[in-house]
Amino acid sequence: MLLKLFKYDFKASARFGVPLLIAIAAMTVLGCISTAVTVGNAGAESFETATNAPFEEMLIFFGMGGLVLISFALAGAAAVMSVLLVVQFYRSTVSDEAYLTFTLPVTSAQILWSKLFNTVVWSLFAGLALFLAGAAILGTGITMAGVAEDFVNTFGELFAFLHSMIGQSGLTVFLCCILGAAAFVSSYLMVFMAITFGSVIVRKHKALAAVAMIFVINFITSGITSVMQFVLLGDFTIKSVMYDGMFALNNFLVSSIVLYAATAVIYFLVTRYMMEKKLNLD
Amino acid sequence: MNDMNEPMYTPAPAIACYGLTKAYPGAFALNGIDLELPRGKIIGLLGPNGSGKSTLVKILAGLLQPTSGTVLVDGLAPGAETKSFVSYLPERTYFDPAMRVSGCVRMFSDFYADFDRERALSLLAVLGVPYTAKLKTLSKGTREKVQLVLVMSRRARLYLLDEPIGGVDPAARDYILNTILTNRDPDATILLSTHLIRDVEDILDGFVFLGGGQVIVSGDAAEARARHGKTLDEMFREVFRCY
Repeated sequence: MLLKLFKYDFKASARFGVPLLIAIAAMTVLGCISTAVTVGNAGAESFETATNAPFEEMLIFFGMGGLVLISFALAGAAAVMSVLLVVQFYRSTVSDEAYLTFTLPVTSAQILWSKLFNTVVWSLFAGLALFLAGAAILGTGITMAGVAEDFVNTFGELFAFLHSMIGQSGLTVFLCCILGAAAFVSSYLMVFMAITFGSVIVRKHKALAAVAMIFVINFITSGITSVMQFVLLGDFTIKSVMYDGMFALNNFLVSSIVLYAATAVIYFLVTRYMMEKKLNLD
Repeated sequence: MNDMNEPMYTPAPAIACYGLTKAYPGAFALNGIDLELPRGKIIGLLGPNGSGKSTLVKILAGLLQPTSGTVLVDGLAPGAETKSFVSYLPERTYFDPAMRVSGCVRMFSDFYADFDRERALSLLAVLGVPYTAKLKTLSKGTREKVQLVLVMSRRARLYLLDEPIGGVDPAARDYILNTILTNRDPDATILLSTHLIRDVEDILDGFVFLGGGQVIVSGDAAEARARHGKTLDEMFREVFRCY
């Protein structure tokens, strides 16, 4: 049943997800064109003769302006994807569509898992699309400027520097990735809980209540986790930084992962409980 | 004849409510309802607006949690298990308007083991619902018909129909009621919530008059008609004159 739920959630998200991914692809093409126009006309020769080449100047202006706009649009596309995924959760668990969701022969936990998987998958799609868009635009600029070799060398040096900074340890990078994933999942589950909680405590203006609950829960959770992190790790970290900064950093990352994972579990369980025991579709 | 040593098996009622209460701040939607409804009957849940009909149906469907009391569907508390044999038709349309009729049929086919796809396709064809159309392109009445067809195409043990004929034209009402009658299994129970009593009177085996969140009177429809010499509609008007 979980797979079936996921299939229908995925399809529902595809109705806005696919157009958004297509929009990102289109913006990438425009971004590459803008970059090509900017870099192609901003060569050394053009700069030297800039005063005599107003047409090139104009092209550079439009190219750069376009690039800035496209950068904002790409960031906006990611934000829109996140908002639409949250709206989809709201629609299928609080609005009229909830009448269908909650009369399917599935458990609340299955509903929640399905929504979470769906959110993660579409967010990964959006993240990957943005990464590829950035790489394509950057790649166009580097190629047009004819500095690909220099860039690779510089990037290699930068990577080597970062690698040495991180202490030749993959552990820290790995922990950073886990932390990012835990924070991401925890954040979405917090929003899901806020929406569910908001729909339980009020009969009207449920969307408004959900938004208010997001702020309230975020505020409370941030306070509690900050205090817990300080209590659990604060003194230890300060002492250990004096001896081994990397060890302290890893400890901080581990404690953060544990806290995010704990909050994610709490959000999940509370949301499931409310869906099972407090559901009120008026 | 049963062996005296064998325990007599009495099947649980299709629906049982004991002291069922649903309270909202300052008001009771349901106030201590005690009710047992038998299997295999078509029962009208009748009452004026705001009498608690939809609230009761939603609690039975597992969409609302009672404040207190017990509610059992086929002997089970409403949950994932009861949803597999309860077919619920809400008074609102619940499909994503971007879905196609074909997608809705596939969805029911995927989730409900008791869904009869052939029956659904046949009913949709008779009603002239375009199978590949998107729901948002259909009229409200047609979307309601789609939902009714899907709900009635399940071979469920209990049908909870909340105002199934409220939004459709009188011509379609007869067809819908006929659909309800001819498409249920003999053992299936139908709880039909409505205030359009005249339209459903002929198909009802039993009735429950609900007013102010309480059961005013309930019983066998034919028996009540014979005893009072009135139709259910006339009795309803008499009982709820002051509501």
